[in-house]
Amino acid sequence: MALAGEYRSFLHRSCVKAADASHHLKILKAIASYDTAVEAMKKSQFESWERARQVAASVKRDAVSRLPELLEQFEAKAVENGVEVVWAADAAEARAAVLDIARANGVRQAVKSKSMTTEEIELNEALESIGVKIWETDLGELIVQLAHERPYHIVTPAMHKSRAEIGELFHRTLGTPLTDNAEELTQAARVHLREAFCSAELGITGANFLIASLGAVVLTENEGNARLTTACPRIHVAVAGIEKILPRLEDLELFLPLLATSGTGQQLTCYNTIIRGPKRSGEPDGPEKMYVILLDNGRSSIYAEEKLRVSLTCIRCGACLNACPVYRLIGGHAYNTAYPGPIGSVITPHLRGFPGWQHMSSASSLCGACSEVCPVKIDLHRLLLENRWHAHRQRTSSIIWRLGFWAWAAVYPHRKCLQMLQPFFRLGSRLAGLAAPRDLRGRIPQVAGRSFSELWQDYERKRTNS
Amino acid sequence: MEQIFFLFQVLHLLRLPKSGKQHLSTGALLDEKQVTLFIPCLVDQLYPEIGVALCNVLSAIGWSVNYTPEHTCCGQPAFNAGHRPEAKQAAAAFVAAFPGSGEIVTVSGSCTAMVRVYYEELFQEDARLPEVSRFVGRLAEFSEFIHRHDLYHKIQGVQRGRVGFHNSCHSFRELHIEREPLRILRCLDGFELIESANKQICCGFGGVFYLKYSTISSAMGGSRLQYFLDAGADTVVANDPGCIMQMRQEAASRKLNIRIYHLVEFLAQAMGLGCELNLSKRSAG
Amino acid sequence: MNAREQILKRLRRCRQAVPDMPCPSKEFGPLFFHPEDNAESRLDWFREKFIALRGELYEEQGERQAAQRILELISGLPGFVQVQKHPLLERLQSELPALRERLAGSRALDCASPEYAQCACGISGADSLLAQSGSIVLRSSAAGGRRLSVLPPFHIVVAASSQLNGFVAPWFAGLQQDNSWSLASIISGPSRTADIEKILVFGAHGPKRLALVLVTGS
Repeated sequence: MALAGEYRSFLHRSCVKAADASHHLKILKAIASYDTAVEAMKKSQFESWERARQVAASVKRDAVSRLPELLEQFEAKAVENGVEVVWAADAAEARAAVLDIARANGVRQAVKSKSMTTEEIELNEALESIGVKIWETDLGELIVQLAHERPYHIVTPAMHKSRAEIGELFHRTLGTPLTDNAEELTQAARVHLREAFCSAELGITGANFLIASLGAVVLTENEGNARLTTACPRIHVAVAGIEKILPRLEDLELFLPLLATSGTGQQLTCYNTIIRGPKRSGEPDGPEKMYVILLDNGRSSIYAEEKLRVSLTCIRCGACLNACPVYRLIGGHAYNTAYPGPIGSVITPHLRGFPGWQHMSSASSLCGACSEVCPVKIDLHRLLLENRWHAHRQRTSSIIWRLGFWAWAAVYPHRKCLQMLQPFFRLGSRLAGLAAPRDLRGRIPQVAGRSFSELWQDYERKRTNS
Repeated sequence: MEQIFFLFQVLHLLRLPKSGKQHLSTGALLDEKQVTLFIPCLVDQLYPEIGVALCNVLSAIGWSVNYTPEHTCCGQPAFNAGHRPEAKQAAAAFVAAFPGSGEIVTVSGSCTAMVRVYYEELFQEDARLPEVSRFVGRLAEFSEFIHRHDLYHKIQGVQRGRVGFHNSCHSFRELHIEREPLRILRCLDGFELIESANKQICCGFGGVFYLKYSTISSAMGGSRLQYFLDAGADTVVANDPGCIMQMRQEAASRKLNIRIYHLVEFLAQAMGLGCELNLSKRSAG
Repeated sequence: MNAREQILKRLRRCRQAVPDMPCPSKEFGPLFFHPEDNAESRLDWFREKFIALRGELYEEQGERQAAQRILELISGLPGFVQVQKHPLLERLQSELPALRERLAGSRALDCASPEYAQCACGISGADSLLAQSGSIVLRSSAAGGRRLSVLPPFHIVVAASSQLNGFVAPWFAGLQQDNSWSLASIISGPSRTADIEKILVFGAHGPKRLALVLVTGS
């Protein structure tokens, strides 16, 4: 049977990466330094990390449960603050909304600070198609934009690139003198983007949180690029998934340190910014107009699923990616979608459809490392199981596996059947071991000469005879 | 192909009558403590020596063992693949194979987790739920069993080698077994336990994942073994037949110089219990 | 039906159909480690955190010394210095005419003008200082707008030691009362990035240097 296109290319890419030892080393090195920082920060900052997680999970679950009310509250407050709120049912509507804003305001250049939601709706390509030059301003995002790649990781987009590779890339694309010095490369990016910040008419951001009580967008970052993106251009557009909602400003007391700790091992990121509208009268600067685009794009279908709803409480810290042994091995690009790793494998089939994307839910050994590190206690590995069950229920899973397990259930749980077929299994495992395709050879387990139940019967027989 | 499936189904419908000799026990003395074995299908089919070691160890520390050959598989492979109706079918047959109320012990944290964490969910809104719940409470993983009955002092013996311990992900994260197996290992003498190798890293087995994504799975297994080798281990002791299958296959195909045992095999060797099923050797205690 | 109605209707329907997720422990209680929060220990606490973030801290006895310090900090800088209209900064300039003279050329930054590139330093006040994280918090309406604190490569913040707080809660409460601001920011050290091989580099897009001139005593 022909494999679905995405599944086939996922298999191909993941196999290539799994065999790439230098890639593995690079990622392990980056994640090791992340692990050290995170462990130290959990211990030094929180009296009990476990309790902090429990509280965070409760607050965020409550918020997501009350999603429709809180969204309406957010909208009312935001409008009061002079923000124009646009609702988008899917990626196409969200793209169209941004393009309309760009056209109506004669935008020729736009700066964007790091936002996974804009990756999800593939905004850059859309803006370029109407002739708007778009600059990624986060250093990691700039690197992957210049390399014409997707972000490798939702927090550290250029995790997979070495200093030398970035130096070579900057030399080629920006004309920077060839160097592998991180400081010089960062400086080069700073100089390169200064001009863009000041000449762009449109600043695009995502939102780490939406504060319902205040109608505010919260951005958390280290570089200052989100600050500049929301300070210099005439127009600010924030694209936010509807699940980003938090009820109260006070909730940030916990969520900002929680996100920083799990995201990068910091107590707080360098800039945590609360924005509730365009420039007010009496303020010297700031955008004249601000828009918030509230994006559904499949989230309401997740909301409809009792078991899966909890996945909307994700704060996109990336901890589950770092912890996942599969992600560590195959990396972020193998998934070919905005959200890789465990959380991506949970939500992507719902956001983009099971037939094309259910393979992500199967690409996990269910080790549970993701659930262990999640700061809002999402049981990711159990949700992967839910997705697999969903695929089976919806009959989108492969016919081969469905028939296989149907037969399995008819035979395998029953000793008599199993015993009758034992010689065939034995022979089958020998033959399969010889005839298996190359990647499976050596991985076909060999059925033992005597099963345990046979050994037991032998023993019983011997004992009664003696 | 289809004929084979048809044959399977017919066999399933016929369900051969149950053997009268289902409660084989070891003819223990009446005052002896008894426990029932759950031999996971991987052990039954691939590594019967682990089951033998379990019997011999339990018997040597003064417990008599019952074995009901009717049980085969807890249903985890189907459950993990998302095939819940099939998993439930298997689970129902599995529960039915363990009548009575005595304790059940097994050598797989993963199977124990399947039963303990997911069985009741699987039988939600099913008349069999009370029966299933009772069953769930009876099952213990080997090191849980040792801990519950405080049998550490009965474990004595000598082993060799530089040993790393591999705790299975499900035993660690679903059953919260962490210190018990190490405490059991420390009851033995003569070998070196390399603590730094014991880091909780997945071996990449993962049930159907092993076959569906065999390249990824294999690479994960390889890097887990490499971690042991880098830490200086020449022996891996693990507590799950799934991990053992994965690591043995990987060690063999990569020609790595490392031995992989189940905890009970390692104990049986140390206690000099031999490879043959032998339930007559009893400790004095 | 427009997108808004469509999304909300769907969410409301699901809200009815699916039970709420359990959330047993919504109350915060004490979650963070912190030393005893009193006026004496607070400064030590803040100092430790702020310096660990690579902030430059200048504790100055009185306003004249503070003014002197600012003059010193900006004396060697190439390009002009942007200063916010702020009562404390006004007082410092009256204390030290030389500072007023140096800052005379100050004007509103305009991104569109090529002059922005010459701005070497922004000087602003702050709402409050947070000992828990060693942060400086400010709001656009009271800190000279949005650009001043982030566009120039050097940001000097002037604050009085009375503005030192333990935690962020009182500031949040104040933000909710005040309707004059459009942007509020918690700044924890100078701009940084570790996007290249996790190597920490300062001055990514925001200020490379962040100095706090803290006026202590009378």
